[in-house]
Amino acid sequence: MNPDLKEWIWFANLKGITTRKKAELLRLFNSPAEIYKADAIELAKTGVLNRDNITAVLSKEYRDTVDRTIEEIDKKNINVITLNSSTYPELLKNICDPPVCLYVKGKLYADELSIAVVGSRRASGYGITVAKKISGELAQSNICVISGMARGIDTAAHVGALSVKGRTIAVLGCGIDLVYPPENKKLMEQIIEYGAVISEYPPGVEPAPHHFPVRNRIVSGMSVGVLVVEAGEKSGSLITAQLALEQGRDVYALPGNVISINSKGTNKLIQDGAKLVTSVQDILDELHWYKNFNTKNVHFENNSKINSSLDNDEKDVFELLSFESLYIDEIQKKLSINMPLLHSILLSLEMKGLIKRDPGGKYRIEVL
Amino acid sequence: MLSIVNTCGLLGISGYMVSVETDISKGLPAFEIVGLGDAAVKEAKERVRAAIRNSGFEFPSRRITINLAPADMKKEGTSYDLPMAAGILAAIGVIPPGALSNCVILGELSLEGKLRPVYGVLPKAITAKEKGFESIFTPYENAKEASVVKGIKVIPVAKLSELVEHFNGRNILQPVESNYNIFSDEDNTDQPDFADVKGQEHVKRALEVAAAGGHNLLMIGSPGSGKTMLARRMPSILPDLSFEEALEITKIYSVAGLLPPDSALVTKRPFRAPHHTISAISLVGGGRIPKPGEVSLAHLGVLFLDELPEFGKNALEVLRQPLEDGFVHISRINGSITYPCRTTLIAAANPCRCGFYLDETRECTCTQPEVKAYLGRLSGPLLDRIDIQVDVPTLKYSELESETASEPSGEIRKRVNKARDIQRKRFSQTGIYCNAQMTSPMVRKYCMLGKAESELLRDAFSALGLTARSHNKILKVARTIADLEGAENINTVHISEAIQYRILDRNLFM
Repeated sequence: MNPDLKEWIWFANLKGITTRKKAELLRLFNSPAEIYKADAIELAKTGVLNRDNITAVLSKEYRDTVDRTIEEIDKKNINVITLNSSTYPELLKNICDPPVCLYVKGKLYADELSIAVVGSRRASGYGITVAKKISGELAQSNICVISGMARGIDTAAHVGALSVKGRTIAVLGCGIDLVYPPENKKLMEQIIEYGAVISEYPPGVEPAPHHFPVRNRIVSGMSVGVLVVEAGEKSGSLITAQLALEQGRDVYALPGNVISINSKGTNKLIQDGAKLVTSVQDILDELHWYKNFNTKNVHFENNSKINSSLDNDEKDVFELLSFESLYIDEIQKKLSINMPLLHSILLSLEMKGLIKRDPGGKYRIEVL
Repeated sequence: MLSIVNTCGLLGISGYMVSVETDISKGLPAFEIVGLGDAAVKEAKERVRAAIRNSGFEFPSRRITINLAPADMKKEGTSYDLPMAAGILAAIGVIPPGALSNCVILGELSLEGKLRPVYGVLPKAITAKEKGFESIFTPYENAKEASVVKGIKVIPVAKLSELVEHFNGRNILQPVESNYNIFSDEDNTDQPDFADVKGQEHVKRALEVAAAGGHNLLMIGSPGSGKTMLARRMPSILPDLSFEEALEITKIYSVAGLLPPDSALVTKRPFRAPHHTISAISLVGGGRIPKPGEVSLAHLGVLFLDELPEFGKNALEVLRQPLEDGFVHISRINGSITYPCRTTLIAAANPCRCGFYLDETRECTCTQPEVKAYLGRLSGPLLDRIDIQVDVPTLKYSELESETASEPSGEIRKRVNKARDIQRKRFSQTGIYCNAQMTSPMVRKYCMLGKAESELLRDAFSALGLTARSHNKILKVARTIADLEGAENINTVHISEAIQYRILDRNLFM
């Protein structure tokens, strides 16, 4: 265990001092322990801190609460990885405002090759399916999938990676002893088992709207590239993409239907120069530069195998469907099957796990 | 000097005989009405007095006592005006005694002596006929309504003096022609028809199944997707109305005072669409003087509840029992009243508060938990009475423009009629008449599944996460689908389609 852990946590918890200023201070003082011992004059001399900052550094309040935090991380089996730790992710260390401490459940490696997969919380069926598929394929290629465990695309990204028992990391906007959104409790347990859940917020901190944009810099900072699967015009994912650019990361975007509100943001990203991604290969092609990455042949499931197990009507319906969901009426019109029979074909395909019914009487392909 | 005039009172949607006994005796001039009349009956005094005087007769300045027998039942409304006036005139000898014994008289009087229409004439005419009376005298506007009753002369009266002339044999009033066969040649062309609805084929199919089996149905879709338009056309595919059914509907409307003047029978199945702010009482009926509620007014027709989650919790709760039993029972201190309400419930709901959750072009402003909570309000016992749940997508413009003709309601109704015939035969000994009413033992008896079908159902339950409450509903609906096809046994296609109508059980809206 880090002997200076107490000082690190104390330093990380100081409010009112930006992460950028903290990074600056650490460069000047070598370690938080020295900042802990410094007096007001020494602190003022740095020229980094203003008067309020100095009061915060010297205040007794922050020094007292540290013990409570340490007690809690011990009790809840949480690891703390500090900026000087050998397991602190290399890539994250090099951004301009790296988090001072990371609270971790699960395993974290310093030199892991990671791609962030992010997107809208209110995702379409298309987005969810593609996010799952690409994340699964990334994980199969030994790439860690990083996301924010939010609803929609984030969840799909984690699920996709977990479905092949691949590595995945969730970066939270609250303390990692909390589950947000609450329905992801089970998912969180699985992520801890196969990857890690991390946060810069100490245990017990509730999620707050302003936490999430801050959290996004960690998501992009840990990754070599960010894939935006679906984003509306004002989506938080676009913030992540912006941060990724500032941090010098690649930005990938999945093209979508020009009418769909869920794809307005991603299509705009492509217009602005993000790499258009239609399959995992488009991402893998960009990664040859990185060390310890060997291109494995990514395994695609073959359509022909599925087709052979279907009867003729089922085949017709299955071939008509795509990731874009289609109304049952439209299917009926295109194939002119009578409605009762169509219902039974769709149910049979759905029970075979090949297609998915979305609310609104719409159907789409579930597998590729 | 005593006279007795026969008239009818109303109890629920059936009538009962009331005799108006008038006694005129010596004493200080007075006018008393006894026999539990309400305010309208008490006020009749002034109308009767003026009407007699203004019709050119002398109002006796003696002690007049009128008793409405049976005297322990509450009488309400203005239909006692004319019998009371006739009673007084008979008591003083203006109308020959004995002339009134074989007829029933009812109507409201104006001060001038003219007659005004009253409500509830049809059930009263039916009662009069059942009690063996020869003729019934009604206001002109009500004559057509009463004339559908076969076997009693309906004589329209315009004013009090006409009635007196008639009984004195001077100007005999002519009965109206019997109208009981008016029903068959009435055409239904002005009813909204499914031929006007473009697209939405799977919703139409679901409505057809609902009509064929008497199932209640819930539609979920964005505003503007045509839920109301579709529901409005539901009556046009319900089985043909029989004369007895028409009579029953007309009775309810007559009692509620909703029958347009000069109309005979209600020949169309009713479509009632109460607003979601409706109170529990107006929905199922009741009040100080119990009136039929919307659910009874929709008897043998369609009760359409738009924006179902917006209805008051209480209103929906009280709806459960009537939907199950097919009648509403309202108890009051002096007796209870039963209104029938065998109606098909068609409900519609938005998928979320703002309505655009499923819309592809407009953005939904609800958060995910809000979406979940919105339809969550529907869960529970009311949903247990809804067999078919179907989603209604917003149509694309191209569909609206398409030239392909839709199937007219008449064609659909033919299939529905056929399916209903099969059900009537099947249930002839059981006291029910459609698949939706089957009890659990009946479901076991009439919805036997083969091996392949049972397996499909079992697989579907585990693969789709259906809840246990769906089980019997799927079987009932599958039975109806098989009946539509004329099939003896339920096969996998029928089961599959029925499963597709349980969207709310499948957590699709998460």
